[in-house]
Amino acid sequence: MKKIIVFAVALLICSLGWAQTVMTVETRRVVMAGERFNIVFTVNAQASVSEFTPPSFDGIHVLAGPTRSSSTNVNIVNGRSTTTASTGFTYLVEANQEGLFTIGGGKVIVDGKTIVSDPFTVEVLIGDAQSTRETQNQEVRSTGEVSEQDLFMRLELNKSNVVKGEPITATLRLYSKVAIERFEDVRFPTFNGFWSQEIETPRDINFVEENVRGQIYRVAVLRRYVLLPQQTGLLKIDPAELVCLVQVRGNSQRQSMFDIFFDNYQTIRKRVSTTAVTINVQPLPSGAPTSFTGAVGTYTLSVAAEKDSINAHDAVTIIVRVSGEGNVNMIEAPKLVFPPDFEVYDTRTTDNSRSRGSSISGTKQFEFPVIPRSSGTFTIDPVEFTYWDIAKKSYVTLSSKPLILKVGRGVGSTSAVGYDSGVGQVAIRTLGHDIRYIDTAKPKLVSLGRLFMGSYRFWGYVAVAIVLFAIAYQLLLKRRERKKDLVSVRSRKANKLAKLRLKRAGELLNKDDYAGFYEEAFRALWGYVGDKLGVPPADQTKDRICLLLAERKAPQELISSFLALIESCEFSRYAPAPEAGEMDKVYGNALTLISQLEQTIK
Amino acid sequence: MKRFLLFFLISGAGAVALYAQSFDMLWANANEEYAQGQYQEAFDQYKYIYNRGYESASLYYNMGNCAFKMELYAQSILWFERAKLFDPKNPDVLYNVEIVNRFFVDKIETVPHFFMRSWIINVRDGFTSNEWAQVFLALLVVTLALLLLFFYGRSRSGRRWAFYGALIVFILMISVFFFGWSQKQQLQRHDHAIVMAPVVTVKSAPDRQGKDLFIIHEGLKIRFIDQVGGWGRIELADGRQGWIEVGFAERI
Repeated sequence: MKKIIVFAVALLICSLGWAQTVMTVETRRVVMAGERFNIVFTVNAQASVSEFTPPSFDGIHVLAGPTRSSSTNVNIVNGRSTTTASTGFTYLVEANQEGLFTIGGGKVIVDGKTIVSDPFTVEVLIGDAQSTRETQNQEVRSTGEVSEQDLFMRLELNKSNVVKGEPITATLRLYSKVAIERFEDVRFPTFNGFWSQEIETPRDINFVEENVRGQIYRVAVLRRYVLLPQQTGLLKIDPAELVCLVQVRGNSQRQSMFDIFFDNYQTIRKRVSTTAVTINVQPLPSGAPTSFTGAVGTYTLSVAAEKDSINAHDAVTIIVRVSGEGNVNMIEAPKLVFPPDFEVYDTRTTDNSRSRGSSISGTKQFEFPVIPRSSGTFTIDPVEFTYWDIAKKSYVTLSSKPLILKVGRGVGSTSAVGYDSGVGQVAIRTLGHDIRYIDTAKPKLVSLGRLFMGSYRFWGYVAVAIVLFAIAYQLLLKRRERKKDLVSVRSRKANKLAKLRLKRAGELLNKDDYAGFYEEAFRALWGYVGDKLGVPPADQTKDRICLLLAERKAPQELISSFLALIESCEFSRYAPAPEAGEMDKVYGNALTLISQLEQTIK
Repeated sequence: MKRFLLFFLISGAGAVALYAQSFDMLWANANEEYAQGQYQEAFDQYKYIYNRGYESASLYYNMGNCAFKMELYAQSILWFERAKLFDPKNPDVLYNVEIVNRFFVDKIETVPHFFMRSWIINVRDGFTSNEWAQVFLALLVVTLALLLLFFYGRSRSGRRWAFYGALIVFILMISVFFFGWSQKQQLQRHDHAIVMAPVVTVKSAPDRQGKDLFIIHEGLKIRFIDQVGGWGRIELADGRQGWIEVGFAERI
């Protein structure tokens, strides 16, 4: 039972392998009118093929067919055999009209399934019968040499007028009407002034028939390149060269009858070379933004950080990806401005561009490894990338969003003690020097070359100050003069006044008004010194009077007795009635003291 | 007649006010242009104010900044030096002068002055001449007041102090006047100049046939000590002398 299951599975796998049944069509793509050729429909199945329904051959005569043929191919590799079988249906046809004929797919039923081949086209050219014949057995030429028409090589460009950096596809093709045995001495073109890359280097050279100016050539692609002009101007591409070994039939006279039976083929060497091609490379127009580094094509830009939040002293990679079509591999890393506290390491560049079709497309990735040395939230300015858009004929600047990077406090900054010991201190780095900013405060403009110092205004102020001084001096002088006069008058009158007061005191004495007497005597004495010394009554104190008297050279005993008398007068004013002789004595004393002072004080 | 006079006065005052306003606007505009990196436009507007016959340290300073940003270093140092002349101790001006001087080739060892002289110059440059003039006037008033006190002081000791005070303030006043005057001289002499031509050959005589003495470059500060025709006798800070054509340098 188990065995049966295994067998069944194996059978299933086998049938799965067979399941890919397809029908292909083999024919020539280009033929001459009146030429006979085969159209072969091949199905990769053998036994169960039935009911082949041919397509309608519009405009093409079917001369014979279908002729059924089948083949089996057994391969034994390392003891394992694989079998491929195929069934072919061959038609011999002839086209008489010029034109492009599209022939639909043939239909075949294999194991009950209908399989249809792809439609195909045949191009029919008008040509003379002779050449048609020749083309049919073109392999051999009867002449001893091969003309330029029969074998040539071309370097074909998809455009020859480009801007700097715009990709060009160059294809090196060999066109032949003769049989080529092999190649020798191949020299591929050198592309001076271009960056070049081979995008197609066929290992086997496959010839395909092609219509070239009404002639059927067998054409092979030798190389295909993508070129990126690096210089401007008319750039010349040096020709490629190749030596082909071509088989021709010798045209020598037949020497013997045996030669009829043996064609004397000979191999000749034919050197073919392309013509020099010039490409007009125009410079890109001026006025490129500063972020332009030579990218040409169409691109998209993406900027991302490897991770959004990291710790200080941890590495993080900022990835800038430029993808699109154009000279992808020539793109230079855009400039990233990192905060000053970031350590930036060398940029790593990965080029994932591939040549596809006629240009290069893909992604170029720039990795910027950085290590932030301090914590905080940092914003990395938007990355700008500018390219020249070939289609729009203008510069296009792509700008990413600003990248926000949260940098946490790094480990290792806390100490073992358990409290934050702060961070390792680093001297402030100078990043650059520049002049200081302009003064924006309102300027105190002055007239050119005019200065206050030494100006008329300045001297005016000086004069005003001096005049004011002089006036003040004069005024003060006058005041002093007047005051001096007043004092001297009072001083002169002091004696008289004192005498008058004493006289009045004497009258009071006679009336026995002792309080009045003492008061009058006091005023006489006190008023006398005040007037004499020029002291206003408000400033009059005993100490001051004493000092001034001493200054005026009054004898010490006189001063003290004078003061004593004043004191006794002052005292007696409020004392009870004194003895009778006492007042007379005071009166006499006052008289003598005043006269003595009058004499001594100058 | 009276009404006419009044009209005249009012319109005159109005014109002055308008004038001042337009300068304020120019100034603000120029600052705005500078902030946006339009250095040439900013410079032109400052220059307009200057051409109208006005000056100030900050005007010169800003013009120097504009020239620097346009990478016209010789122009820049010229305006900075003018600002420095106007306000010798302005820290921003001094800083920028130092920065701009890094862009010039010639390195000169300045001959050191006698320390007293450099000290006096240092004090002198502490204030502008106008400030010195104001200080002088204040000191004059103080001196005169003290003199009055001396003449009419009441007490003998007070009068004595007033006398000494007046003496000291008078001496101060005289030196302040000297400082201010000397600075004014400095400002009006215009004997210093900046070399504007990229390279200038200094000759031994005021004509083209003179022997070549040495070569000076753009941005160097020189001093004109004499002039004969189109030729000026110059002295460098290290004491070297020679003759150059006056057009090669612009006076500060």
